[in-house]
Amino acid sequence: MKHRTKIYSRLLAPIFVSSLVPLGAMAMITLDPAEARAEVSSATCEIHAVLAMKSGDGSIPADLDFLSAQLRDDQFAAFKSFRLLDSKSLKLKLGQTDGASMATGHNLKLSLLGAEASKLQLHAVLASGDKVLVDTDYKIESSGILLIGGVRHPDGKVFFAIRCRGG
Amino acid sequence: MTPVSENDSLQAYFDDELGAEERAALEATLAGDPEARLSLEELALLRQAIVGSLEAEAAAVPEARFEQIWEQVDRTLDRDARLQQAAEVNVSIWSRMAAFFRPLWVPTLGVAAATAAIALYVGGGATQSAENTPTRVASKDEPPAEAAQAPEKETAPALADEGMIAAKVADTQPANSEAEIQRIEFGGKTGRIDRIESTQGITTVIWISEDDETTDSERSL
Repeated sequence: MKHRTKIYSRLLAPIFVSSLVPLGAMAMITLDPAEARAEVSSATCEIHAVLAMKSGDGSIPADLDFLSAQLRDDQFAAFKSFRLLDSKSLKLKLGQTDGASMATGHNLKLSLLGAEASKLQLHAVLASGDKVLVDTDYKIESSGILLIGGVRHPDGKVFFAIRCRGG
Repeated sequence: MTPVSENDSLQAYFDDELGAEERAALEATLAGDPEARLSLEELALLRQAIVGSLEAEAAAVPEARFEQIWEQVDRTLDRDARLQQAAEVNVSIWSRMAAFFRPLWVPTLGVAAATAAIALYVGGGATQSAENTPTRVASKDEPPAEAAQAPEKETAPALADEGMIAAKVADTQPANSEAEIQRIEFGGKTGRIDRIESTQGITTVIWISEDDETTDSERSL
């Protein structure tokens, strides 16, 4: 009996370790590294100005592939062609604001208000000169796209695609 | 002739070892031989004394003591057998080392696996981190040299401007990327929030209209 207990106690530690290690390894492998990171304190944002025109062959240029699914939606059915006018990149730190002056003459200011898990909380202000067109606070998944559209342009309407990635 | 009292046949009779004829003959002799009967009584007394003494001694030893003694005997025998077996087998130093480290194999392998997993994870994270850094994206202050050679330049001449992104965005949108609008204020009279469900997930669209008056449309979703 005593001998049997000794065998059990000898086997217990290896069994325990061998069961914990694969679990830990699997957890680390399956976890998204972005989520595994303790906290997001900065974000890289890309702002794209897209011109939607009512004339054209309906094709979407290669540089707008990342928006092709959205631009083919019924909401853009009135437009026949699209063109990428400008793209800017901003690096945001938590609590700080940065702005991008777009080639369309619009100014877009972005602030990183916070981040939790894989979501970013942002503040965006789109202005045309001194006139604010929209001022919004929103939460979105990292790498998610927010479209702000309908801004007048001599050739159609301008849409702004904002994509921010935490970290 | 030897008297019955000195004869071995009396002892054999006492031990009940005689045959029927010898027994009958001896009993006939005993009937007429008082000395032989006395010898027989002495033998009975002697037996009684010896048996009584042994029983008394056995009664003085507790039963548990017997078990202890037998266990000790068993252990001694086992130990001797093992020692003899060990002496017969020529155990190499490598075998002894292997036996010594045998309980450590599984934990060691486990720690090695965990270390490898962490190394892979850290390496993957570093790679992803490197991918996340916009090396292909020009910063506002430092436009990359390859920006001038970017194919997008032909389709979008404005891309040649300072601070523009030189390469198109390659990564995909997360499946559930609908924006949660917490507050919104439109500069124009009208504005609305819509959503597009596409193969790239859900995308939130803020439609604005440019009018002169300012309209507040506070929304908490």
